[in-house]
Amino acid sequence: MASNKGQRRLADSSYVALPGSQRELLPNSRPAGSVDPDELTSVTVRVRPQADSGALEKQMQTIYKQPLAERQYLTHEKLREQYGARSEDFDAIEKFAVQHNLVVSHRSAAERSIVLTGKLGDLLNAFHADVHMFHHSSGTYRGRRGEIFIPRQFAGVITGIFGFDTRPKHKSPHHTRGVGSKGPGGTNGLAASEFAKRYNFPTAHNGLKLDGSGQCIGIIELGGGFNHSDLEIFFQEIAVDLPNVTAISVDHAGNNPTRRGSADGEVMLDVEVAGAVAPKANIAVYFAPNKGNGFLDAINAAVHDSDRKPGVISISWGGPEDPAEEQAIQAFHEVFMEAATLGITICVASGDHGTADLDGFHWDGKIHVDHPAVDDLVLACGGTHLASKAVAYQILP
Amino acid sequence: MSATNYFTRVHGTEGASGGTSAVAPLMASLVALLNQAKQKNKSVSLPESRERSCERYNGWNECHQEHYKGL
Repeated sequence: MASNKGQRRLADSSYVALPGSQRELLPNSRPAGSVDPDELTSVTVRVRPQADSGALEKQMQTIYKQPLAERQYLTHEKLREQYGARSEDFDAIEKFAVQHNLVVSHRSAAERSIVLTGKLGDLLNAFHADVHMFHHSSGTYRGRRGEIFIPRQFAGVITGIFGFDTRPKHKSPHHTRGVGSKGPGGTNGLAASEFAKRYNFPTAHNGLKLDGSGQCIGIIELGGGFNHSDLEIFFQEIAVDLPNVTAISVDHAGNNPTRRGSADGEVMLDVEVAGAVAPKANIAVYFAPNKGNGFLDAINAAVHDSDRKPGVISISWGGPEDPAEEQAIQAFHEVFMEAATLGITICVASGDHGTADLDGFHWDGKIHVDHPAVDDLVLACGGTHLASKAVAYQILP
Repeated sequence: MSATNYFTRVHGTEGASGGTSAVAPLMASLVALLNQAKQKNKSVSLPESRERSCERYNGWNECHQEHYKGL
């Protein structure tokens, strides 16, 4: 029944296809039935900027043509005023949302995003899409096929809708071995502060001790959490001051440490590495759900956080780029462009599986690049192996 | 940057961890130090970083001294 309804919706002539919204299922997905129309769901609707298309890119290029010493980045306020969303666009979407029993749970002109929450059935009545449940080796997920259709009145206004599909993003795998609590050294590995020493990271400049003071490092996490007690012991053991770590909720996710083997390992690794090298920096951890719109929303929240103003953002999550999903690739790219105009560097793990970008169990036999590391406006971070105490570089096999 | 052998503590268990997951925050912390050296809460520009690859320098100390000229 849900499928027939979906077909009727897709044929509605008052709706038009959202450009770039074509999406395919994960390879080897198997049908798992209809979606639950009563499921409470949120989608993020991204809208056009105030300025003409291409203006932001020109702005970025102008900034980066300036000599480094004279470079003037945009402030958050200027970026929002010049390139943020138009309030009349948001107002029209809000009015439309109310007519479909949807609640506006977040609205940000700077992020050019408005988050609509409600029953999945109501969301699919508002924006038409072919959405069903599917089984996959990575777990059962809500999958979207084909294009999203939006009311004709929003053609050219809405540039992306994210959240109907719940397939998770991967994290770069990390393997922790060890059973004790004896501090760094030996099989327990080295503190990141030790790596910083071996790589000759700067420790002072013009008499100024470099420890991250006055800086904010943003960290994106799609699950898991950190334990403060673990951090206290960790930093005591490596003889580094405990950094100030803050958890920020995006799309109702939060700092939620659970158990060994979960995403907690990723979160702790990120915080412990960043904090060990720059202990006086504020570390802002943006937690978002690992599904649908969470990833984009978390990066968007960090880039446009005008209170904490992270100067650099670390992302250790990603997955094989899906060239078919243009709206997502474009939306991420636009947010990275906004970060560039603000002077924010985005560091992204490039993945640990070479050209497969998936472990052997999940690999489809094709070559992939990792997204968002592949975006040309981020700093993709690959890995080598430090073989000795001397500064040395060796490509991993 | 090394992607192996990072000391971590998770749920009371300590051990070595890694992956490119470790490199992203390591690079981020380096950028934070460089930003602090510039004495502004702004980032080192990515194109500039690319243009001035530090591989030709003898480690970061020499590299960042060159990088800061004229700041």
